Amino acid sequence: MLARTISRCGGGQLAAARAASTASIAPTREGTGEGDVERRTGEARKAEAVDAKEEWRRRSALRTPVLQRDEVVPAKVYFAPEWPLDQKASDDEGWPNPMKGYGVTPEKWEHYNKVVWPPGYIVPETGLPKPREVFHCRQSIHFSPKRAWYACQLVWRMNVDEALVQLDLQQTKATGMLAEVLREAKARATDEFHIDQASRMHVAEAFPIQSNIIKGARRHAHEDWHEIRYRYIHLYVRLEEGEGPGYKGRVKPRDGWDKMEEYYKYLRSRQIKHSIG
Amino acid sequence: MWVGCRMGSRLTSSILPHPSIPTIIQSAGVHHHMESKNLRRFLGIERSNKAKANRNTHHNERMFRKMRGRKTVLLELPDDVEQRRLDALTPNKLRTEMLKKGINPYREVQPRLWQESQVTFQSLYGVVDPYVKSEDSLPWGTNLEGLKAKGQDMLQSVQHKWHNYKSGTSRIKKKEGFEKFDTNTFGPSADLIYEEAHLALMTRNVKELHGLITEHAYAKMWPDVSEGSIMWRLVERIEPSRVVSVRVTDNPYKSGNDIAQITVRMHLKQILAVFDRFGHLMLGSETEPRTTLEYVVFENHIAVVDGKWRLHDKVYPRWVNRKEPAHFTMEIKEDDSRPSAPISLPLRAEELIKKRKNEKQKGDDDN
Repeated sequence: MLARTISRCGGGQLAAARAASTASIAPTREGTGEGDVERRTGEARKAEAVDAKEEWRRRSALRTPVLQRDEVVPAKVYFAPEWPLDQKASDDEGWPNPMKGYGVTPEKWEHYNKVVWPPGYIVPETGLPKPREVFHCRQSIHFSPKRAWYACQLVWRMNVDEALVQLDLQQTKATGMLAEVLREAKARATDEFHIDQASRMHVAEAFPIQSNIIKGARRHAHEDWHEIRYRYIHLYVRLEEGEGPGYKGRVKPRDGWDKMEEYYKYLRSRQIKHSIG
Repeated sequence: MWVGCRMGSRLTSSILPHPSIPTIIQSAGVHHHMESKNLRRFLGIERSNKAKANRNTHHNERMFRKMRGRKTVLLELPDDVEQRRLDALTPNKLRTEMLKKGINPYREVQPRLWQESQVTFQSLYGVVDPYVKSEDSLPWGTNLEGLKAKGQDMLQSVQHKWHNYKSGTSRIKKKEGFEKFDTNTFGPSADLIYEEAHLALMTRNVKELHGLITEHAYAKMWPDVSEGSIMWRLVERIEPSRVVSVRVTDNPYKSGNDIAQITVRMHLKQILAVFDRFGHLMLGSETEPRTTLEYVVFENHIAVVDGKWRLHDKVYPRWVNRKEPAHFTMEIKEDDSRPSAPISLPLRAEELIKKRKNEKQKGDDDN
């Protein structure tokens, strides 16, 4: 445990040093006439350093629902290989059926890994650099989606190393499986995505999706046949660089301080009717 | 056994119970079925209410467990754990596994992956002659060895010049549209192709790129922008580019389908920054220009009228200075197996280890 803490501290210093060095060697450059890419990079260097709390405050602010008519579709700044719509996973004839392979599929999940963001990209909504992510999926596991869900909920938004410790403490098939998948994702982060400190990542998402049911049969009394469902799942995991938000839900749950603030706001908004001031 | 709670509460002050307090026999709140009188019931052989369905057969009809198991239809379910284990095996071990299961791995099984690549006759997928004459000529040696090397070098350079003419320029000039081909004027057009190709690569303009680089070069250059991005800019040309080598070959041999390759020496000052897919700088710099000396190969399918000069490859002669690779930082794990100091691995390492083992064994036997 101590060793892990030490390594984490060292990691933080290293990362800070690297960020500082990047800032010094790459000042803004404008008017060179090289097109879009360069102008974007010029903007990109304006990101300020903020702590995890502030980062998640900004990110959770984006969660407030907006009417669809007020939504602004952001410009496509990234590059991704073409998604071949005509090439379907299944061999069925005709156009792709929207009711087949909808939602998250392993192909789509892997496709997110192929997205390339422009140099020094800063997310305009938060004003922060894009955190590095690893999308990983293990396919066709013979396991119940409901039981896998509990293990996934345990590690949701936890630091990877912490999640691995917690999963190893619980000796169930689901936790063992998820720990294996997380280890694979971590290995991919270092080997494939050049993420030097994979221990500084957190599990942004982890969820199972049922992929296939193989139906068996079982005879009850009086020749009463019933089917048995052997379920298969895909286990999806997304690791993201940086600290997690510290809560599991979509938005931060309100605590006593928030409620107090709200109450004060109400108290101060009161008015005495027909008063002079 | 317990004592009535009301009395108990009264007795908390004194330690010993009062002799006059009567003790009450325990009565559990469980429904009984005269087990004490019925031994079969007591042993669980007989049930209390035979009219009621037995809901816990797994427990109180344990002897029929196997028979109940036979009510389930047995299927051969795909085993993902086993599949993953097999996928991780080396081909040799997989063969052994198959033989254990009674499958003939040489006859009944197809190779796991099908690899194929498209080949055209409009391009050569390589450099015909990567020889580039050294810029610093070899000194006249004082001893015989040095003289020999000098002679070899001179011979090689003369041969190279002869081939430049015989299987190079003269063959190009025979082709329609190339009658006035001159290597001295090729430099500027090569510069233009080089610059445009790199700008097209930077903006990922695939359509334009295919007109500027060959398929061979595309396979080498495209990963730079599909797995990340690059920032490239030409700052200045230090020396005018000049042709170093000209070669023409036909593919297939003696078919007359001539393809020309020209190596151009380019001495440039350029800026290159390579970013990973998240936009973090991996290699180079956006501001600091570097001087580069490159030998760039251009190719043209001269057998057809609409052949174009395209960037094909780069040649790295043995005497050229090596380029600096990317520096990746990584977390050092607390692993005891890590050696404390770097050890250079000798050539034929495995053989040497075997040899040493044998010698050691021999020594032991002698002793």
